Amino acid sequence: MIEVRNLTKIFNRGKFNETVAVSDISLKIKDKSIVALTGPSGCGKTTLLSMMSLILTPTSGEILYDGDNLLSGSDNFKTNFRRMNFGFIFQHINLLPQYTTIENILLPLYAFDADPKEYEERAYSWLKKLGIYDRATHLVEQLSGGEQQRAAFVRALIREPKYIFADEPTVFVDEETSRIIYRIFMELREAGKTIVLSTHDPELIKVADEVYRIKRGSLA
Amino acid sequence: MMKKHRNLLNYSFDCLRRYRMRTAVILITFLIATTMISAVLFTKDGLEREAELSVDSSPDLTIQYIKAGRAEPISTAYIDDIAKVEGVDRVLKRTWGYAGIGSNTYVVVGLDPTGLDYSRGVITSLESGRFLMPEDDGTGNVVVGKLIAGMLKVKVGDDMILLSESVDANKFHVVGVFSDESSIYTADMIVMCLSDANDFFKMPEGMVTDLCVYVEPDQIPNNVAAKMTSMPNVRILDQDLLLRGYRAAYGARGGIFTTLWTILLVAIALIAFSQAIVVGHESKFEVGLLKTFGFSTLDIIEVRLVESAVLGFFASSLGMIIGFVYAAYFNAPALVDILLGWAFLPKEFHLPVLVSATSVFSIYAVTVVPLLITTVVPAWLNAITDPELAMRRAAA
Amino acid sequence: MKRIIVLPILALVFTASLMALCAYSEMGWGNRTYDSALRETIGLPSIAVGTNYEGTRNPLLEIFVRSLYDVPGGHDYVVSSSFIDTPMRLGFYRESVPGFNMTMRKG
Repeated sequence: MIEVRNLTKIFNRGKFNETVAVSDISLKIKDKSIVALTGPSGCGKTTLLSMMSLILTPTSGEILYDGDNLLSGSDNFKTNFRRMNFGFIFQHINLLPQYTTIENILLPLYAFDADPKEYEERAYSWLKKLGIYDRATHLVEQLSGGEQQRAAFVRALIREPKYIFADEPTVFVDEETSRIIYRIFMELREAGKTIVLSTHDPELIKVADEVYRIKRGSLA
Repeated sequence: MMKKHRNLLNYSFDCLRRYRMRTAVILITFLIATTMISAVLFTKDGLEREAELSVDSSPDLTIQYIKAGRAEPISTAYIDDIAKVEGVDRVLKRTWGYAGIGSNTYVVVGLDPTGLDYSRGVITSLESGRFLMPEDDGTGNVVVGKLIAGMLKVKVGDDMILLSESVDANKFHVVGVFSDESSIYTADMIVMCLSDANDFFKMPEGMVTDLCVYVEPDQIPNNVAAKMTSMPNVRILDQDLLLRGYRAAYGARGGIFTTLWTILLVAIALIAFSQAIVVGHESKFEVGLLKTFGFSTLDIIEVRLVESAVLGFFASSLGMIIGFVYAAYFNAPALVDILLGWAFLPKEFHLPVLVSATSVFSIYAVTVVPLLITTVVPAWLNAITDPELAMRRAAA
Repeated sequence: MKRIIVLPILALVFTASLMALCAYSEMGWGNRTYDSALRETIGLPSIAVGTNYEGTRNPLLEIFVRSLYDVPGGHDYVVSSSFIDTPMRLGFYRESVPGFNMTMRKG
């Protein structure tokens, strides 16, 4: 279970442009569930998601995974935890443009003591499922936004992580692909994964077990 | 863990391809810089080593006559006094000087016939003919350097005429020509017996330019020299003193080298730093992304370290090899005059080149190390930043 | 990933070659005894790298010559320690030594 306690993030603290992105948010996310964070643009969804996924340090508060406050751990500990447990789908996709689709998908595996090639078969089956199998060896800059989004999706799932953090995962894809993604999320939940996502997509919100609405950095 | 390090290595090697412009700029700059500096340093090392060897084989003590603080011919009467000093093995006379021939100056050395006993070894560095023997004294027989032989087209058995300062024609007979092996010492040298040299230089009777003192094997030259200090008007030079002088002349402190080193260091640091900035945004984003995926700070440093090390060692090592070839086989055209200040380098003469470990590591220190620092430090700084912030800043 | 594997391999090869060259060069110099007899016989000969220097006639540069104790070869070293300017630019370094009226020809 993920538990967030009194999480606050203030950017540029003490400066003239100080911004309170997230203010005193507490929430609980059960394992094997889909949780949606929703709200208007700039409300703090991405910041909250980033803090929960340990890629942004909160100004104050606690984040507990199965009862352990991970924020008290070292940077190395958090990095290891991310590597072993998390999959990421970014709002801006964040694929490396000089790499092919398959190279981008296998990139997270370079941090593991494993041969990335052993995961190629799994990657291709995901690509097939998402309809971009024939784009596997194309450079990502030759892919459309939707195709890139799907490649990023496969990259997040390649290690079958326990937790998946998805920031606007359907924003660039068409309806058909969106439906495939909803279905995959549900399958992942059935497989015991926990999915935390931020979205404006009403269809995706319908799939969620729990929805948190955020307004001006706080839970609405 | 081996697989992980192999993955990181592969990733590093791939970065060389992805940042190909940076790779090319650093490779070319480092290649040119290390080629030039290594050609100079290896040659300087060679000359210094030659000087060391030369001094090492020189007389234990060289005695000069000093008048008004300047070296003048010394009377051979000193020999008796010096020979009496405890620890002195033998004293040899020597007359040497410079002879301007055409537009060049050559060294004329007159040897004491009593020193020509071959007891110290057989002179093998002759291309043709033989070395002087005691019975050559007064005959006008000479052994000449290969440079002189080449320029005058003389060979063993030929005669040559030298005009002295007093415009007297002096006829000499070539009995030997030094080989390439010893050209560093002998290329510009005319070796003759003492009385011939005294005649040629019109030295006053009983005078020579200096005296060479050899001490007994169990004696320390400095201690023997200390016993001579009471002798009037003499300057006693020991090997250490000579070596110090030569080192000072060829040493890296010699102005131009220091300047060059400084320029090189600054240039390389600037290039490496500018390249770090050029790839900075892309690299910052990449580091953030890798951290998100679970690459540790050490993993990221390892990636950047390998990447820079490959670049640095490739360019510097290749540059030094080219520098060696350039100096050793091509006599460093266009560089020697400017960098070493040589007025004249005949084509017959081969530069003595020493690839010394000190110079090799010094060059690595000013090329590879700055590159490592300028790439690893920014990567480390990015790696210890929150991944989200690193990516956000890179995108900004 | 399309790795540039040739670059790291060449980096290793070049570095190893350079180390070998360095060891070979150091050993070569260490074993150079061929001309010790010559050097011991002649004393301290010229190191023949630059031979048209007029320092001995130049009051300023003579200081440098004298700093090398006016032993054979000293004038060559002084040319090499060109603190003032490079002889390449200074034409008079290339001229013959003033005061000498010597020539040489095959007899």
